[in-house]
Amino acid sequence: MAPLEDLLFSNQSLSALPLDPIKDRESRPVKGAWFSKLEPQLDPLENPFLVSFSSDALNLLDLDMAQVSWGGEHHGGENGQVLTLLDLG
Amino acid sequence: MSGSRLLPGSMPAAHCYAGHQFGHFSGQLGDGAATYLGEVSVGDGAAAYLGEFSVGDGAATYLGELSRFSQWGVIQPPRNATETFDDALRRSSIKGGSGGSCSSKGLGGPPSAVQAMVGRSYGAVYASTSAARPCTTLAYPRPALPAWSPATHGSSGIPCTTHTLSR
Repeated sequence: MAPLEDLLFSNQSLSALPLDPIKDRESRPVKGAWFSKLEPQLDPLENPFLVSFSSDALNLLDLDMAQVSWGGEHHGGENGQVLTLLDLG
Repeated sequence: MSGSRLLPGSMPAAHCYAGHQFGHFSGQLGDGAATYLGEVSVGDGAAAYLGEFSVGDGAATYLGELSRFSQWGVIQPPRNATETFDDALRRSSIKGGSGGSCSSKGLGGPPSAVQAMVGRSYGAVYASTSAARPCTTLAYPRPALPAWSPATHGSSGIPCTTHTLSR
């Protein structure tokens, strides 16, 4: 299993399809473009916990569940109760 | 999976949110956004598309920050005083996420899988749905089904039209 950080991004669509040339972040029509590049400002969650996962999707990326959860902990909720982790297939 | 950091090589880009409703391709859906996080080659010339989707609530996030991708239309408030936000989040997110996967399969193409759903602790504050975090989704067109290219499904169905996008 490859670590999550070792996924090899190719991003072919982004380089092959029309990009929005306008950097303006105001509301506006976007013409003739597929993508508008983002420079996201990340806002990490406090106390995230895994609710469900897809084993099919993870297998496709050669990942396992331990790599998208937090140290195998599946506790969360308002009182730290144990949540049932769902595999959506 | 929770959108708290970017993976190396990920290049986020906003894309018009579009898709099927009631059996037909409906074009742009509201003012929401699809967010491309990147593609990962998975062999046989196929690529897995990683992204997030948010449904607009009048203040949608096409050009917003990742931190605002949290407004997800299927997140519903708690039904009553005894239902926690986590209950509500799981009920509505799982309905939306699993429903999306099933409808994709029903349309005859490879599914867009909800790779993972992530919750967070709220304490007593759960009135604002804007604090809910959606899912990281993964679409994987398979070479065996050439009719299902990313250009024929979902948000990629209207790649170069004029669409109004709000932040």
